[in-house]
Amino acid sequence: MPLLKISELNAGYGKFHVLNGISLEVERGEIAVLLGPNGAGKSTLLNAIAGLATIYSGSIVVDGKDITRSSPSEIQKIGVGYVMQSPNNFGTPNIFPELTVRENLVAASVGVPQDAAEKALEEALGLFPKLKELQNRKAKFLSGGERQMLAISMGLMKRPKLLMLDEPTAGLAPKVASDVFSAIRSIRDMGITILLVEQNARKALEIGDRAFVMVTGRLRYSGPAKELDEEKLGRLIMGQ
Amino acid sequence: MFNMYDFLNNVVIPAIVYSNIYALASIGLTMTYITTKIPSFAHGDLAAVGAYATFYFLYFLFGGIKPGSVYLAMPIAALAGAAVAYLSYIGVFKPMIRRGASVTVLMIASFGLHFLIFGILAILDSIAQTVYGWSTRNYSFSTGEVQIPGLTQSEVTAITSSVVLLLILAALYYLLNRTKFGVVMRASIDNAPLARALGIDVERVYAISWLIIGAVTGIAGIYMGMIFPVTEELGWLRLPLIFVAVIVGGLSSIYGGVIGGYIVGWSMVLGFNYILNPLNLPPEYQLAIPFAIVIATLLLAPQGIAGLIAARRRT
Ligand SMILES: Nc1ncnc2c1ncn2[C@@H]1O[C@H](COP(=O)(O)OP(=O)(O)O)[C@@H](O)[C@H]1O
Ligand SMILES: [Mg+2]
Repeated sequence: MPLLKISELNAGYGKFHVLNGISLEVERGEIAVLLGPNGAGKSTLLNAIAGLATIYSGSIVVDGKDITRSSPSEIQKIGVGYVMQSPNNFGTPNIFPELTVRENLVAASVGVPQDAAEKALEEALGLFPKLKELQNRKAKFLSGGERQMLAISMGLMKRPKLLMLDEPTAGLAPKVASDVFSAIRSIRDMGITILLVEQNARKALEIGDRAFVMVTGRLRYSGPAKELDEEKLGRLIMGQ
Repeated sequence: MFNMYDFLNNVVIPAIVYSNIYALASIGLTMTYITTKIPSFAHGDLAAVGAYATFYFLYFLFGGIKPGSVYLAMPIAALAGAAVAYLSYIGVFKPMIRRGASVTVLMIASFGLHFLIFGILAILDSIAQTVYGWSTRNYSFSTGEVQIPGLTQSEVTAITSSVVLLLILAALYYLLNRTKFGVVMRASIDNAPLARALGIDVERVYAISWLIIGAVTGIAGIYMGMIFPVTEELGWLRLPLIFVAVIVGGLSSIYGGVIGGYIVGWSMVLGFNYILNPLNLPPEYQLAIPFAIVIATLLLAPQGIAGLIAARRRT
């Protein structure tokens, strides 16, 4: 049984239709990368899974549970973590700028019992030692890389089965970006399935097991990541 | 010749009482604005609700208002304010926000809500008078203040209102900075879409903040009733200056609003004593002074006091 199964999904924002008949599956323990040009609807697909978009028809099943009509908090409980793009489709960053690093993590652990939340918090700070040093600093004073580390840690606070990451390396220096990619690998090695949206297709295909390509709200490719390269991706996007 | 005793009685004591009233009332309006972005015209009416609840509670219990009894009624005023504020959010504002209402539309809705609460209080008034013979019109709570030998009622109120303001500020500070709910509330204010994505029920957080808004403003109503006549207009007539306090405070910080309340209170009393009185101007002009301050604030420091505080922190 796949961890994530999407069937014939049509979704958007209110009356604004974005996704057209998307069907895809992500297996447990893999890194699935979702590629495509700007405006293709990648973030909208993640929003739809997270319960933040309007779903017109189709279904989304996570770990055998139908979450198509569930609320964001129910979806989180079922085991979906979401690190939004920054800025996201609602125009806000993927952290709470006015809160300290530690408070950001506390906010991300809402609904988790106190002792489990504290454990997750220590684990998150352990995964990114830099954050531990900065834990009492307001998030708005962090660098771009530190912000992404924080956002990823926040996505992990509820120990998700599936972690969705939307362009976590956007705007980062190459060195910092490769730190983020290796963090993503270690999260996968913790047994967490990853659905990763990336602009850096070469790097993403390197760490990915499976790849999807979306263009204007439709799925153009679904298959092993190693059978896709930048040239083929270019042709898919140009519609050849 | 400068007379210390007159200065204390005519300036310092009234200024503290006025300031505390506007500070208390500004806390709720600032919270209304930073959570749900509503410049609510019904805000003052929450204070009137608190005052009316106090009045009915005390009449029901004692048939009148005895010294010190308003403090017995304070929890009732808070509860009544909280209930009305909660219903306003759940019944009026939340459904409108869900349908994508703009700030202007919400503001107009709050105006409608003002007339609704206002009307209900007026009806209660006439029921209380005809059925129970309780004369709610133009009542004052000053007789319900505690009595301390050697101190005038105004002096006592200056002390008690300061204590209540400080206790409320301390409680809010603790709630917002030392509890998980406070962190979640600040997160929802800071970045609501992200809060939702993280599974925070932002609407529920707002509903709880409206309970707090109503409770604090209901308590403010008791102090309003100590120096202004208790009528259904009790809060409505104070609303312009509550807005002044909140705008001078910068619209974004509870503490900024409290400082704004102090600026309003002191400027009114100082203006009355040293500008209006010597020039023989009627007291109606008293309002001109805080409004002059708000215009100056908007011109010189558009972000208000909270903006100045934030600017200092950045350096
Ligand atoms: N909040 C929103 N409301 C309405 N339309 C939106 C919203 N966010 C994005 N869109 C539209 O949805 C389409 C897909 O956007 P998005 O999913 O962000 O693409 P991608 O992540 O692939 O760049 C775009 O046409 C965009 O303009
Ligand atoms: Mg996107």
